[in-house]
Amino acid sequence: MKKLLALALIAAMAFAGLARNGAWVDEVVLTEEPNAGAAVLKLAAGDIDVYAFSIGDRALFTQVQANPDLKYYSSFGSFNDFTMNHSGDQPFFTDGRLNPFGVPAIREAMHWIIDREYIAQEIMGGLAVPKYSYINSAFPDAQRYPDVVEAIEDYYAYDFAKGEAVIAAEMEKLGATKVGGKWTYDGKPVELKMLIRTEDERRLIGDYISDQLEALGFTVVRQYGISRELSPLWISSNPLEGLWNGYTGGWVTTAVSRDQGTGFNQFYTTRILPWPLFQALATKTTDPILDEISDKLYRREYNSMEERAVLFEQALWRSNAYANIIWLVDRQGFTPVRANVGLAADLAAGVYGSQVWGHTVQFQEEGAPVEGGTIKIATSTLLVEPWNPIAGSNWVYDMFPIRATGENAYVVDTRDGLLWPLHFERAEVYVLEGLPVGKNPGHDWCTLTFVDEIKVPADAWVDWDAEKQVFITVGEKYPEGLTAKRKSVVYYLESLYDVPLHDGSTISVGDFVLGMILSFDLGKPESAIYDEAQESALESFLTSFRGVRIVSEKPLIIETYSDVYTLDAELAISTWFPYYDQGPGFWHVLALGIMAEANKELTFSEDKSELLNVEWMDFTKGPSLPILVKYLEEAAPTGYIPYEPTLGKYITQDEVVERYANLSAWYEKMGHLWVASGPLYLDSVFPTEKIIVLKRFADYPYDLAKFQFLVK
Amino acid sequence: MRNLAVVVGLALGISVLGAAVPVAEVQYISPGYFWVWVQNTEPCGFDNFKLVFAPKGITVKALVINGPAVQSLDVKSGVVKVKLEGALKTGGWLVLGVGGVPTMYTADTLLKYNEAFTAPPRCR
Repeated sequence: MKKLLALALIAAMAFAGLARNGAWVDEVVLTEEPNAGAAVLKLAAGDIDVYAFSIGDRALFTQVQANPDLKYYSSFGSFNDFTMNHSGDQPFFTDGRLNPFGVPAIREAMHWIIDREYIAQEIMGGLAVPKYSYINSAFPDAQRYPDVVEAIEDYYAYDFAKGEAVIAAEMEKLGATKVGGKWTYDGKPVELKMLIRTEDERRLIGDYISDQLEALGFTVVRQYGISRELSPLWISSNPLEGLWNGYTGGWVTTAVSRDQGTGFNQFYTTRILPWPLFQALATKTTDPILDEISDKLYRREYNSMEERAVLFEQALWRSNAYANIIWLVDRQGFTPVRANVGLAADLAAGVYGSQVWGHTVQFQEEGAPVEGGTIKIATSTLLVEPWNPIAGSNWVYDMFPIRATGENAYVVDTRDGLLWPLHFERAEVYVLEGLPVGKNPGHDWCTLTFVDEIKVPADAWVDWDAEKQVFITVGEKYPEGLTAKRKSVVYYLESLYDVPLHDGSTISVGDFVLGMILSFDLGKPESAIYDEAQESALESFLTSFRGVRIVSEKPLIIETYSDVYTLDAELAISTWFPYYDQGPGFWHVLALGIMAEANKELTFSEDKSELLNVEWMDFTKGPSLPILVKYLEEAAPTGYIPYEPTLGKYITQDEVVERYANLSAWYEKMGHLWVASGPLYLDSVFPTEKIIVLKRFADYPYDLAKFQFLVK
Repeated sequence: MRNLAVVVGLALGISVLGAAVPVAEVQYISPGYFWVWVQNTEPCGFDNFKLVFAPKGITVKALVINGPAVQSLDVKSGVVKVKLEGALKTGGWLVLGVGGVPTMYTADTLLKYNEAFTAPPRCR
């Protein structure tokens, strides 16, 4: 019914001549408002139109419900945690201070010390449910494994005395003694530094956990701050330096997660997150089975749902025992907006995690979109860390504006986490007979075929020679032949190469091939931009990657072979579209970053920037820009093509000249180097004032009515 | 940074979380038939075990030596779940008789994991 309505709306708008490319609004002005109460007052007064933050305050919820000028979007994918400084599972920091959280058993005992029911009911006013493991209570895996969820909830239920006994035994093993009710080591109190976020209920959560730790006999130092004030300490510092012990964390799932098995690799191993806190994890040594199973779940290295269930159960128990992170609550948050605003809010991620908020944000009259206007959006914080698409900021507050500037080859459905094609027409998925893969109704753009065998063609690229800068084919690496569990074929639209970028360039096949190269190159020690933090990710990737082949350049058709598959066929497609983990990346922009990193002046990742003691790359602002511009001035006259032995076959000199000229003109006009292809472009950034201005990209190729069915 | 952490870890002797209950031996008996020997080497008892076999269409019988009776046995898609009436104590043996194994599998390739998984997975 909803689809019919959407079709009717599209038809009506076409007849009325209302079709509009680029964003519905002319301009988006993003500002910072750390206080949710103040934000609701600003909304009520009409000073802002959207407060893009997941609020969990019951009193504010009542206030918003009661105001006819306001409405709200509910979301279920945000969650809070207590992150501990695991210090590589060492009980002592490098300066000799005792770190109780370096002991896995003490970390695990914190499950019993923290009363999640209290947090959910008393602190969050019922707008949250207790969370005892990584599984989100609203996502499918909670329904798949209810018995495991229940057993874990029983086992880790609040039991202060039990937790205290475990901690006391472990502290004594470490040589600590309790004097006058206070833990001491080497004659001094054992001090724990708690980093407490202040933007939301985490202030109260942090105080509660600190109180519990004091009740155990620890001396607690409380440091309060907002995200960007605390992130240099908890996520960016070497854990062994001991700048902190505990942190009140929060995460957002940016789409409905239909398979949470991929998350263990993120939170419990070194394979995904490039930041020092996660790169120092010692899971591989402390619990090698957790490390192995996390990767198998990530790569779907199982042949049946029964096998997956065994692995998932182990991962849940073992991750709870390893406990570098204790999950506390799944938030049932709400995002308040003015009643005349519409957009596609994600069921899991709300507004600030929605992949298509920029495609859909609009003023409305009687439920219909109105063209134009400036929409004022506040978030709890802005401009936390540098923007670069390879390994820049992953903060939701940074990714929120980034997502509006760029887009992938597909649109993520904000209601169920499935995909809709955007730049491609259709896809085929082939998987081995018997694997647990299904098709979803209504997604006719994707076909699923079960086959007995998938042979990888000898000319498919399966690896990368970083020294010679050429791909290694299947025929070269596996002369005896190679098979895969899954093959996907993506058929791009004929009009792909007409898709304009914000700087006036158009997408080219070179953008795709660079993405393929970077999938390997960063993790190769022979590379000029080798990053140690990428090595374990590449190792995991190569374990299951079986090849990629460009079948046709125009129209672009790409075949991908892998042993990784997904439970939903629609999610098993590999598009290779130039949209990286942290945003859009086109070859001529990334080329400048590659040059700067090769010369050790900037680095894509924070981990490497610490190692080299240079600036973390930012294409939007700060000291990175003059360095990147220096390389632009060098690249343009020399016609520089990164990885020339390979990319030179896909990029013509005409394209090189045009791209660099466009980028130079863009920088002259805009003062930054953030080039994307989405419905809004980055107009200006004011780091000191914490303001970002996005403007409508009028050359955006698609009629925005295309996304209207997601708007509520 | 990662290397530094590991080096320091080894020097100080970091604590290692308990492994799963290991499969002691896989014994070839006759074409298509194997015995799988599981010994509880952990310092506490366990009453449930899960093993993942490479072939899917196998048949399984389970027996405990000097221990509690088998309460239930579930075999599906190569995953074998054994629930005992009580805990298998330290040193106790669980033996699985596995049939219907295609001849391409050997004692080395019969199991996907050389462990019998338990939940919770270790002593507390």
